[in-house]
Amino acid sequence: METRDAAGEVRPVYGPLFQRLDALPRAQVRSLDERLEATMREMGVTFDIARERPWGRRPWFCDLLPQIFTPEEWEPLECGISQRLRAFEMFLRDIHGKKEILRDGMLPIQPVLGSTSYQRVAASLTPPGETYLHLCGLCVSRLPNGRLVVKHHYFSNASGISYMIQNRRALARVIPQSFQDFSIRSIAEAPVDILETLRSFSDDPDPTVVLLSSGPGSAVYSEHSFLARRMGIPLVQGGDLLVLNDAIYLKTVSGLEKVEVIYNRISDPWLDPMVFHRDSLLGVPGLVHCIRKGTVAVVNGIGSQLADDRALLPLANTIIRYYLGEQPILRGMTTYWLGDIDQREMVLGELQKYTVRPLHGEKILLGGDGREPDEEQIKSARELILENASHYVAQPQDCDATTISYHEGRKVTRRQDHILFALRKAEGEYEVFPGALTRISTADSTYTANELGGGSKDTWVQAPPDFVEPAPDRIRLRESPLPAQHVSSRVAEAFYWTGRYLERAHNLAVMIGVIESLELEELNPTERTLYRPVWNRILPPLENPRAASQRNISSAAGRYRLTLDLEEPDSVVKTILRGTGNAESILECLSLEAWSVLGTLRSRFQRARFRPNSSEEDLTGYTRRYCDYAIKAVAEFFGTAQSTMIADGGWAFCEIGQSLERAIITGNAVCSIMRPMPRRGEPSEHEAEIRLSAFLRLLNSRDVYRRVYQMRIEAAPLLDLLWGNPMVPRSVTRSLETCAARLRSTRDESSATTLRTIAGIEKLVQEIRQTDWEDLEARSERDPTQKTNPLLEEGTHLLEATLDIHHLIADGFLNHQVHMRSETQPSFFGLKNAL
Amino acid sequence: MLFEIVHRTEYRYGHPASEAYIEARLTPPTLPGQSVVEHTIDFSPANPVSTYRDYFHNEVTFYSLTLRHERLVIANNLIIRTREVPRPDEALGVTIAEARQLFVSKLTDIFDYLQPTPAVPTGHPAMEWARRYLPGDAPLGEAIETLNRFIHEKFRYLPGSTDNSTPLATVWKQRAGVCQDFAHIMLSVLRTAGLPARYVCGYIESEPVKPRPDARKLVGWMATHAWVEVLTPGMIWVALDPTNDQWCGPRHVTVSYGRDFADATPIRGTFKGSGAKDLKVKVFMKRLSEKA
Repeated sequence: METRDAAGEVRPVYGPLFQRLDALPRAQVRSLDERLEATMREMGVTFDIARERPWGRRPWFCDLLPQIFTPEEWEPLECGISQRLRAFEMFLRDIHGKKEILRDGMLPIQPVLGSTSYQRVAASLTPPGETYLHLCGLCVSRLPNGRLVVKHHYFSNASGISYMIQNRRALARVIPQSFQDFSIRSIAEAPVDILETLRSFSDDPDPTVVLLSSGPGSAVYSEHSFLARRMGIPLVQGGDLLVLNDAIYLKTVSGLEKVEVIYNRISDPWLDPMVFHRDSLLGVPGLVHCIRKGTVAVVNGIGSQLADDRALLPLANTIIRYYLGEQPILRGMTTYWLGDIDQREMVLGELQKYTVRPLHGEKILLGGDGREPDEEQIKSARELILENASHYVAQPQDCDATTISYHEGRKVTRRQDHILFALRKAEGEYEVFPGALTRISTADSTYTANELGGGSKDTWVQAPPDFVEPAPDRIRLRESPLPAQHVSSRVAEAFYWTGRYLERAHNLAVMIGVIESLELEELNPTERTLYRPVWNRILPPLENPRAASQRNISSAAGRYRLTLDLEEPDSVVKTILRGTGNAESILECLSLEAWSVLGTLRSRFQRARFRPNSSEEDLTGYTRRYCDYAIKAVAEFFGTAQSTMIADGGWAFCEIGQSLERAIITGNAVCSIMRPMPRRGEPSEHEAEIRLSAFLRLLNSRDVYRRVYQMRIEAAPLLDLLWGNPMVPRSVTRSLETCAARLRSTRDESSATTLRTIAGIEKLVQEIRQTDWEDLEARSERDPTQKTNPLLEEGTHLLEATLDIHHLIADGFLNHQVHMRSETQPSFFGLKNAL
Repeated sequence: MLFEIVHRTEYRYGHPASEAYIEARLTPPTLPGQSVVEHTIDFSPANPVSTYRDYFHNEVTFYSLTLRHERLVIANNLIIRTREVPRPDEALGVTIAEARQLFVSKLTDIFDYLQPTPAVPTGHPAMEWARRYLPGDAPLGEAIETLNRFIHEKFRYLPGSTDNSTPLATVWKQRAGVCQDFAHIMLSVLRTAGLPARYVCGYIESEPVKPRPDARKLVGWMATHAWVEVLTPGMIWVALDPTNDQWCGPRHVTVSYGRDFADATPIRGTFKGSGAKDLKVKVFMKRLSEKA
């Protein structure tokens, strides 16, 4: 038991903590517990093991009672960890080089060279500072005899540092008094220390350092996000980076920025599809080649994961003695590699006594919860082991000390282990951060591993009596600014498409809603026959102006499908899912309030059951309800986001997308209506007006027309209104001007790309305003026999130009085609010497 | 013999790709049996490339393009001279059991060539073949020649019967495949028997030389070829071609090595933003007069 000694007495070091907590009534302890959980939620600390939930909704569990390491316990831990890391660093260098330890016959070859973590490609790469291990984790556990031993290596991937720091921050807020009873060493500066190490791998005095994450799909994304923020470096994903001339660049809205150092949180096998798993979408193709060419440093070194293979745990003492000539300070837990026939036989003989794990990861095949497994579990584990014995190791079940945790105000007994973290210093020594992530089993999980639902404790390392905390270096403690200068193109692009899709869904919902209202009105048959072709013309092909649509939305069933059918390519529901999907990919850039609107919108549409065989009345009801809701929610999203989003240039692209989409829809609609209707003879003036009126209602612009013109609806003024009137909310001109204004508001308002894009937009606006629709109409009336229609021709031309604005924006800010265009021109060659 | 070879690979995308990354293992090594006279790799669209030597000592050409493009062509243009190399008869004369014994001290270096890979699993049914064709008391050279012949006899060469993702178990079952499968089958048996062996990718002159003036038309387009190399106790590799039931000679041009197809693959590409891809590969190989 962690908190009690062999005689069952509370260990003196825990005395003051229990004294304070025991003095409180249970209800008060429970409320402290609740405050702690609320604090974690507020700080956004999550550990999301249920991957289907996009936003980390599972707050991190931290216990009220901290774990304490006394100076007497800590010192040998520190020395032992440093020793182990030094030895494994030499091991990694040897194995990726001359392999002397194998040639000398000191280790079996199979678990080393046969390891799936042995990356052959690493042999030809120089790791940063010629060192594989820089930032490392390691799991220790207290045996029943009180001794601390090493349980796992997490040398290649120190996951959990942010939780260690956040536990401290949260607990200090909730039980500040207890902190006064102790002298505890500080861990607040860990991220700054790490950043300093990262920066040292570049010769550039101000290198670009990024944190490469696998994205919001990772359970520890909140850690990636926290560390990046604390270090003041951009948090990027594979798609944010590209390889150009053997160097890595970050795609930002201000152009390509060369990246010198990558703090990598993607596991080796997924890091580069050119070298590792071919189907990895998380990585950066060509990254390994850039490391090879020495243009970028990736921490930890590729190949480090070999040190974490559990099959090496039983060999750790040999490795320490071989490379360092020293006796191991910190013992490892007894570990059996089942690829070895003798060890396997022994373990299989008493399988119930062991915890069996694969060589990597946190999955557990058997045991691990301190309880005796039942026959069924043992049987199935035995089968799996015999199938693939070399993939497993076994450790004694009875290896995790118990401790006290608070659950609903009461003390309960839990099992625990600890992950400690170390950073390599310039001299080659490893400095262990004075703290740990103590993992405990919880009410929900009998395992300590957080991946399996375990919780945690803040971990205090007591300062020895003569200890003087080094004064924080003021210069180092620069408060990290938001990395606003680095709005990555991926983020901007996701914002842009969020804006476009949501605006598209909004327009579609408005139009369907208008039609449903018109249908309710008493339309006479003539009106009906005149209205419907207009709807069918405009409404369906919003996505692609030239696409021929097979859809008929004159029926309630057709409109219902266009609202809720997931099979319908551009239905409201489909468009909303695309928009929210884009937003979800950049959750960390959205305000909680804005996402809350979108999250609700999405789940409401996701939950909607598709019932196309309902009665016409029901179909109409569903259509109206969902369209009304979509209209309100999208508007609410833009409103909420505007007042809650940081204006860092990323959000601007959402509004740019929204405005451009509106311009395109208006332009497309106006062109559609100008094409001749398939009918007999010329429409009467009255019929033409009914048609135009229907059209304006679809675009929610009939009242605007009346206010501007105070006359009946005619073609030329209508065209002028929707193309060129800068006051009309949805005119092409107004929408384009909004785009230009948003671009001007970004940080790079004077960059060449921004200026070029704004100039392109302004030129188009100018052209639209100079178009004299009355004159064009007069011309077409003068010569009704001519084959071409000047009105339609001009409209089509302007629409094409509006669509081109998308390419201008996409190429300039989002995919960087413009930057390379001058360098490489495609030139196809004839085959030399062939045939 | 002197050969002119053009190996052309063309990708056409459904949508223009915005980024493309290519690793090409197309540079033949200089060996006792072959020397490169002229060699260029042309990429189109043209863009700067850089090279490196991989774990299996292949020279790799790395190409990246971050410009929107609709197709990508890689042409390997090669003039190469080949010659007959005598086989290491002494090393091939030892028995398989002796050879295995001699390899023990070299295990660290040859480990990779004894291991199964995802494409080349060892064990059943390779085990039965290993017992039958590679018995411990058989002389190494004779035994591997026999194995080579039996693979040729028992498996049918059937283009289109497999692709890169066909598991070897299927090839064992259907007793048919292409040169890549023949090579993988042979590697599987050799490694199961404890003999280090590697995969070779290259070109082969398959059409007989026609002296007639219209000969050019008869020399057809084909694909790249694959065979295996077996390590002898003198640490010299010998090459056999199970698809053609022969020891490799001057009509084989070696390009790249690996544990299996995946290591030695001539062209590996990653594309972003592209839709479905259409891939065309053609190899043109013609013997040149030595006077030229």
